[in-house]
Amino acid sequence: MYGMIHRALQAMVVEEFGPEAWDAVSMAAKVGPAELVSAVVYPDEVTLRIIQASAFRSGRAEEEFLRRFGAFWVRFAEQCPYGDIMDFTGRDIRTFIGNLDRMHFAVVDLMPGAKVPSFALTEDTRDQLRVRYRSPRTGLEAMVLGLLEGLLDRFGIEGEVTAVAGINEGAEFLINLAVEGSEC
Amino acid sequence: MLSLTLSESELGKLFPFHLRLRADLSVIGTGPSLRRMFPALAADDHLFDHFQPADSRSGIRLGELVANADMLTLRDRGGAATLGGQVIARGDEFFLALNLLDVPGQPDIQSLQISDFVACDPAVSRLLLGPVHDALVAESLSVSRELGMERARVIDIMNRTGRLAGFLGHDFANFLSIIDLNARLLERGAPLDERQKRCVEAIIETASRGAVLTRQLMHLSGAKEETGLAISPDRVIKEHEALFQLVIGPQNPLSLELSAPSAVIVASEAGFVASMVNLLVNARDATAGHGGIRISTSHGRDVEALIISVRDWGSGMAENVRLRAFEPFFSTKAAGNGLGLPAVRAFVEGLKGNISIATAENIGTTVEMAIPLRLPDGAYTSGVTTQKSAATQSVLVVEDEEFALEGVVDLLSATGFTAIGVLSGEDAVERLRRSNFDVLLTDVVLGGMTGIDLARMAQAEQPGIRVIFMSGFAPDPQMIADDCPYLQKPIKPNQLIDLVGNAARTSV
Repeated sequence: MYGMIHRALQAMVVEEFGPEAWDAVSMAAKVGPAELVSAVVYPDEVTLRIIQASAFRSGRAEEEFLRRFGAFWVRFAEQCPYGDIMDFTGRDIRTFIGNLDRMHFAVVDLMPGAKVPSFALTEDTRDQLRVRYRSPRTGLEAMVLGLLEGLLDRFGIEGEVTAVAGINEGAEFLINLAVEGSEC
Repeated sequence: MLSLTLSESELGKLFPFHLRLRADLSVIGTGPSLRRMFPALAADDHLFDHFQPADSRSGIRLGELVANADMLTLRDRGGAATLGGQVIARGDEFFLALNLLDVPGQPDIQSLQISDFVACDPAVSRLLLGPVHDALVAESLSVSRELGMERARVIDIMNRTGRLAGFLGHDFANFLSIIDLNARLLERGAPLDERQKRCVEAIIETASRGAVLTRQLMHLSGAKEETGLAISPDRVIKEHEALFQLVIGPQNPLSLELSAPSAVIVASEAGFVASMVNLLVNARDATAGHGGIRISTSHGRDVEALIISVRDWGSGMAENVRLRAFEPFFSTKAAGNGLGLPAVRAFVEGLKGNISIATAENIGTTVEMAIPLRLPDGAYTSGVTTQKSAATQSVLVVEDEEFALEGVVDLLSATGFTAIGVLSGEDAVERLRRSNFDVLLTDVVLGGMTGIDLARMAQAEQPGIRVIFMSGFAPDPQMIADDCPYLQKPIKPNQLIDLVGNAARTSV
C-alpha cells in the first residue's frame, strides 16, 4: 500500500495516544521514517504489521481499529496537501463515490505500483446508496465501512452504513441516508 | 451503422461537456460539467447567447459549419473556457461532443472536477501532478527532518550507552584491581593450605576473566586502547597461549620458545595480541591446520631489539607472492581480505621496528618482527635489568580508592619498594614538598586535581622523578608525555612491578 496509509496510521496513533505510542508501534512493527514515504508502495505485510501494532496499542480489536481508521483516513486526506484532490473527486457523496475509481486510476498513473480498490454506486435512491467494493486484498472491509462513515461526516450527511453479505473479492455496503434536511 | 442507446447519465459520463442542439442551434440538453460550469445555460437558449466561435474557421457561417464540419471550437462569452470537439448531425439535431480545452489563467483542480473529463483522460493526471508534486516535496522535507532526528536519537542512545559502558568499565576495573592485588598479596603472604590456594587461584582467575569483560565494555564505550604501555611480550604471549592455540586449531601443535622474559617494549597490548593473531592465522592456513607452529622471542644480535618470530612448516610462498605479501588487499586465499599482514607491518613500524618474511615453497615460512627495546625515557637497553636495591627505590602512590591504594602500596612494599600512599593529589603535593621520591604512581582521575596536573607539579618540584599513570580509562595520548608510561586497570601486578622498577632505576 502507499506510504500515505502508513502516515495516516501514524497520525491517528499520535493524535489519540501521543508520540511515545507511535514510537512503541514503530518498534513493534519494525518500521521507521523510511516506511513513511507517501508515494512509495510498500509490501502489504508492512502495512499489516503497522495496523496490528497500532490496534494492539490502542487496546481495540483489529476490526474496530480499522473502522475508526477508515473514518480517520477521510479527515487525514482532507487536511493534508492532497485535500484538493478530495474536492476534485467530488463535492457531494454520490459524485465522490462515483469518481473514486477515476481518481485512483489517475493517482496510480502518477505513482505506479499500487493495487487499488474499486468502488461503484450500484443503487442510488433518495434515501439509500448501495456501494459495491472490490479489492485484490481481503480483510479491509471494516476500514471501508469506516471510510464511508467518514464521507458522511465530510459531506455533513446524517446516515448509517452497514455491510451486507460479502461477495467474492469484496463486499457491499448500504448507506441509509436521513433524507429530511440532508443535502446529498 | 451501429445503433446504441445511452441514458442521460451514461451520456454525461462519456461526454461531460456535450451539447445537444436543434437545427436552429437552440439548446435541447447539456452535459453535467457544462451545466456546472455554465449554470446560466438553460434549455431553449440559443448557442450564441453563451458561446462564440473561437477561430475564424468556426466563424464562417457557423450554421453551415455546424451542419457540415467535424470539428468546432467555441469560447464562452464570459471568457471562462474554450471548448472543442466533434459535431455529429442526426436528422434535425446536432450533438456536439465537446471537451474542455482551456481555462484562462491557471487551470487547477480547485475549479474543476474529475468528472469534467472523460474516463482515462490524461488531462486528469496532468492536473493532479501539481498537487501531488507539491505534497511530495513538502513531505520529503519532513521525512528528511524525521530521518535526521531519528539518526541523532540513535547516535545519542549509542553515545550514552557507550559512556555508561565506559564508566561501568572504569569502576569495574578499579574493583578488579583491588580484588586481584589483594588476592596476590594473600598468595605471597602466610603459607596457605591447598584449599586456600585454590580459593586464591579462583579469585585471581575470575578477576582476570572479569578484566576481559571490562576491556570489552571499554571498547564498546569507544575508549581508545591503552597507549604508552610497557609490556613484556614474553608474558603477554604466555598469557594468551590458550587463545593462540584456539586460533591455530587443536590439531596444530603450538610451541613457545621465549628467551626474553625481562624484555619490555612500549606498545598497545591489544595491538600486539592482534598482530600475533594475524600471523598465526596465516601460519594456520599455510599448514592446513596441522604441522605445528612456533612462536619464539630473543634479543637481537646487532641492534638492541627484541626479535619475535612466528614459524610454520607449511606450504611456504613463491617469491612473487613474498614480494607482495605486505601489499594491502593482496591475498592468495579465496576468502582472504589482504589486510592482515599490512596491519601487522603498520603496528611494527609504528613502534619503529621492522618486519621481514623468510620463506620457501613446501618448506615453510618465518615472519620475524624486530622491535626496539625501550625504557620509559626513550633510551635503548639490552633488556637485561640491573639489580638495584629495591629498598632505595621510593614510590609515591596516589589513588582515591582506599582499598586499591592499600593493595598497590602493599604489593610494592612486599616487592621491596619503599611505597607511600595518599588518597588525593593535594596530599601528594604536600608529601612531595617534604620528601624526594623516585617514582610517582598516580591515578589519572582523582577527586580534586587530576593525575595529569599532579604529574606536572611533581616534575616541577622534583625534576628527576619518574611518573607512571594508571586508570580504568585510556587517555588521549597527547595528554601524556612520551616518558610517562600508562597502566590500564585492572592492573596486572607483574606489569606494575616491572614498570615501577624500570622507572625507579632511571630516575635521577
